[in-house]
Amino acid sequence: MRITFPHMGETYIAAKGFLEDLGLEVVVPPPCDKETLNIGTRYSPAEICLPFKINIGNYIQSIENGADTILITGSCGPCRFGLFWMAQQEILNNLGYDVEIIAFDPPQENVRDFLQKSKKILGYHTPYQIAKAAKNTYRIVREMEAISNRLYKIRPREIEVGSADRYYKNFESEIYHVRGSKAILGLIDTLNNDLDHVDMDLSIKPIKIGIVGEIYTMIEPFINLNLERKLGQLGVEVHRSMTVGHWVETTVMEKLFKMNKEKNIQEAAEPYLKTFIGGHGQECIGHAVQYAEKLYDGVIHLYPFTCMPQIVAKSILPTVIKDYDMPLLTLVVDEMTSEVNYQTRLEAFTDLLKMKDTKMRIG
Amino acid sequence: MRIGLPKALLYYYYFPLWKTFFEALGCEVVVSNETTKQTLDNGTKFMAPELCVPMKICSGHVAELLEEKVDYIFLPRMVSIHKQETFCPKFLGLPDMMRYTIPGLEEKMLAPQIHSHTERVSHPKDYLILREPLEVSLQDIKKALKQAEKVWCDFRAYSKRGYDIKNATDLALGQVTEMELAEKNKNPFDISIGVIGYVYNIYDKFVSMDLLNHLENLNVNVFTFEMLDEMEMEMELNDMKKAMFWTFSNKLLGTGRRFYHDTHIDGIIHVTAFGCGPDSFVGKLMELESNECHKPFMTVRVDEHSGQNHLQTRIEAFVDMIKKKKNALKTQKQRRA
Repeated sequence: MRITFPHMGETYIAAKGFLEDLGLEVVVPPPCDKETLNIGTRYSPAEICLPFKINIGNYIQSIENGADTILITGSCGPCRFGLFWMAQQEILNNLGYDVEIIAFDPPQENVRDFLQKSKKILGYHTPYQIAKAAKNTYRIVREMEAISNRLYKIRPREIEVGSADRYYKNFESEIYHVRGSKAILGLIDTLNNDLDHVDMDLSIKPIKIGIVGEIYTMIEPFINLNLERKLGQLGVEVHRSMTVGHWVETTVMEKLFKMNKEKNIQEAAEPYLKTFIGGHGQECIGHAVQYAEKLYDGVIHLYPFTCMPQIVAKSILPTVIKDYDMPLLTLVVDEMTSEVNYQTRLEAFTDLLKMKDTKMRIG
Repeated sequence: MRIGLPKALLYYYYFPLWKTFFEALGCEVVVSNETTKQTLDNGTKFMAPELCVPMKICSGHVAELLEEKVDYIFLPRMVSIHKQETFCPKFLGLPDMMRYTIPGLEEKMLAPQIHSHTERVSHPKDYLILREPLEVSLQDIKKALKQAEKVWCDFRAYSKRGYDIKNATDLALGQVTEMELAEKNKNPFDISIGVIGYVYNIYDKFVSMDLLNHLENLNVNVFTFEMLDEMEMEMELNDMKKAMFWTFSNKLLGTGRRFYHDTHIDGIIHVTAFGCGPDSFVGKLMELESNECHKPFMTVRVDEHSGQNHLQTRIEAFVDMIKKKKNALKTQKQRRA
């Protein structure tokens, strides 16, 4: 069994660590690029959202590299994500690929199904081994989150623009060549050391922008055209409202242990959107409110074209920003998004915010 | 009291129920006019550009009702009408979207949350919030709902006997009798086409560009999803690895598959609005199956820029092709005989 999984930002690092610790053979899909997108667009329904298309691209590229089993999580709707695997399996079979997609739906829906699938992957491992692998994986997730947060702080302040990202790029290319969570944690340590040596101008007080929206689009740099890096290089300290760790916590912890970590976010969204609409639509409103309350300079709303929950959020966000008097930029990405247009809009937006910021400081 | 019902979205499916319900509570029901280009343009002004056409049309109707000086506008939040299934996120967020985008709506909106396990959305607990604005008691609501439920069940029974939505509605509300409609002659023509699409797409003459009438003028029998029994649809979905989350999408897919396997149906047309999320799955799954079943399948995708002429041409071509194929088969059979 050679396992693969779709890309979603830095998630592959943790997934690779976990599966390799369990002694499984892993085929990490090549980093997302134009080719991935082209393959995906060719075989996906035209009106599906971009994450679906990228998934298909990842799968086919991995299958060509020898993968025969695909791991993915499910969900119980009403966002389309929960049905991805069902349609993807049909599409891949129709193309003549002999692969199996093992999708983990939330256990409360069908416990037996969940256990059967877990057994397939976890096999003969003892609970101790599994717990150990899970613990190390969680450490990777946390460390990667800390690194993202460091990069947000470093990018607008570094003296030689792009030096931190150079280290990060090196790190990413090495990940493909190591095996197991121990080696990965070692690489993370090296990266942290390297980042210590980046020269920064600590007197700079950058403007702050919060990113809200659809989780996949926010986390995967290919699909959002490296939004965080672009903003960082424009001298902006960004904050992303959702991370992989956050996602693990809300999907795993909440469902298994009935902890509701999202409660304060839901409460913040309550006056504007009263019900859960799936796909982090309600969370998006909640996060925007929270950024406004924390006095961020602006918010960027990011989502893939035709995303159902985010269209609802988009219709409501103008009211939120009016109430809080906060600038908002909406970015909708699809396979036709042009990088130049995108860059111009970002520059214009950050310039406006900077102007507003200086005006406030002077008088 | 005047209650406005926008002629959009699930109006087509639940009108008999809601009309009976409000009238039993002593209200006057005001329905907006048929959708026109103006309605859509009006709605487009208020809503986010990439929202699907049916939602924009709905907001156009709501805006029209606001001008009609109604006391309240009924805009339920449809959450679920089937166990473990829901509506698409746009339906879930509909009252919130409209509340903020259409000025003057907030005070006039009646938005009960419909969260039911059956299609008969007549559980009194869902309608409790109507007590205060309509000045009625729980007893009144219970009584009105009972009456409404009965009418709606009649309506569904008529649909299943092959009447289209308009006739079934009129029959259920007692506006016509079956005698007047004359016993509908089943299968009067040689060719039968299954049309799959949500009620607000195929029965809104503006959205579907009057597809159903076009087909009838071309001497085609038309079948739609609400004419099928739920059991039949569910049977078709049994072999799916995972059922979809959205009730009406499951119905469409079940119906589509039924049509594929039904030898009386010669071709299938899928009517969908641009940007419909659930339909991106329904469409793709139907397309994949079309190859296996060797039955013609056509998708008609509508948005606010659609023109009518191209549709006419495509439908005529589709029907002609089916006729030709059928005739060729017939002559082949005759020759062999």
